[in-house]
Amino acid sequence: MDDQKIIELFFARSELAIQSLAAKYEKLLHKVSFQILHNDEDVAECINDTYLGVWNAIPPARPNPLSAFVCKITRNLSLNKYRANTATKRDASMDISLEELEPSIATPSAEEEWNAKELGKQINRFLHTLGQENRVLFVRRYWFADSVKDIARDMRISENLASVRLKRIRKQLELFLEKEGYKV
Amino acid sequence: MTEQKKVFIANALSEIADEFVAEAVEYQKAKPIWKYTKELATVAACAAVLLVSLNVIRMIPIGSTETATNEARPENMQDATSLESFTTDITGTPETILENENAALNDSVKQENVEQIENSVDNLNKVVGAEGQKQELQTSSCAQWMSAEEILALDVEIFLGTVTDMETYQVTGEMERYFTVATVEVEDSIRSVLEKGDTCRIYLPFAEIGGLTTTTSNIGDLEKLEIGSRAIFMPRKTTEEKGAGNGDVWMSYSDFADYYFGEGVRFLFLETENGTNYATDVYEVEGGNKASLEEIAEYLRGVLEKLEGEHYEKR
Repeated sequence: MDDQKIIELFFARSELAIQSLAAKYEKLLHKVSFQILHNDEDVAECINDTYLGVWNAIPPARPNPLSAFVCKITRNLSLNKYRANTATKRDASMDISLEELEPSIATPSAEEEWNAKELGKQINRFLHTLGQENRVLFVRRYWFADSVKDIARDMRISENLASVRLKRIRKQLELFLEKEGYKV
Repeated sequence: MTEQKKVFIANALSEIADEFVAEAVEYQKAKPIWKYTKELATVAACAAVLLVSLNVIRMIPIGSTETATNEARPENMQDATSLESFTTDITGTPETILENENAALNDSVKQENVEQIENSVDNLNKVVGAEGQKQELQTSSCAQWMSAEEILALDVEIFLGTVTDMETYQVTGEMERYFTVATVEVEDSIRSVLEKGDTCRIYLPFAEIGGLTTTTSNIGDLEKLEIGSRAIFMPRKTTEEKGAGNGDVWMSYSDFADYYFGEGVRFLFLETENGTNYATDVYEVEGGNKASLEEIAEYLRGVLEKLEGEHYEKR
């Protein structure tokens, strides 16, 4: 079903709204959450909370694109749960992808503020400089925390090439942040 | 990594713009998982090879504005005496090329391809050569004993670039050849007429068709090249005299590419996840396989400056 039609169902407060949303996005949301939590129960909880969040947000919001809107809600809920749950396995896909990215991003000094929003803006500016394929590679690896194997399969490139390109992108990010005054 | 930093990076990534997240979601949808059976995949591959092979005998040399004609051929190049039998063979070629294909290929498509091949026979005059012109691909086995300086003193161009396209070719008839042509965009010209941003086509002596790979013994990492691969390339320039032949039949590399590789072991430096694959026993770059392409480029420039001194320049 078209995203606009789903949004109209939410505006109409129709029972079909969440059903339609789930039919289209549940698989994706499950993947986003599982890469962080690695626990089906917690994932199910986050997805249900996502639907509630969307129900409460629409109306008045008219998100476009809807896919990013729901994915972000799920991701944020999953991250909150991840931090709250000290028993969560630390070898989750998200941990691995963050460890990979960590060397490219400077640790703020004691005096500097840990301004995630500001870093986020820089990352967005960096992503604008990339070609579409490399940008998708980056977002899938570090936002979706997809495995290199899955990314390579979906993008029809070898795993080795995907790894090589990600390494190059991380280096480019490091140089970009350095140039913007964000030193590693 | 501290927990604080992990949270910091995760929160920063949460700020990634919606358009980029949606782009990644949609990009997945645009590239669906391959749904077809192996047999149909082979059919598609064979059909693609057939369509590409129809262009094998096109005449315009790459990089030349001149349309090649009989008059443009070197004077001592003669028509192949076996042209007639070659022609006959070509009309049978669709069957040969498609012999591994199943009945899914449409008969009308086959007939169309036969007609296209027959119409292209005239172009054979322009590629088939004769004696005196054959310069088969040098196996470069002698390079096995050469030092870095000796190899760099050969007539090779050197540039760092990225593969942007790969085309597979199959030539059948009096001579069978399978090869690939890679399009490379130049990032850094180390010793080449090419400059940053230029693209070129490079003949590679291997081909992957329908899951099978035809290759040579000294192919090295050339067969690992794929779209997106980044490497330092050391190919030779093609000329009409460089190519492959069988009897009076001649195929010139310059009809397909600007450059060619004889072997990949000592003439290619391929970027990998952990550094670079290359002949570390020949090129003594600090760091060995962990050296980056940029470090290797610097090393090569150093060797070239010593070799050519004040005469070192791009060519």
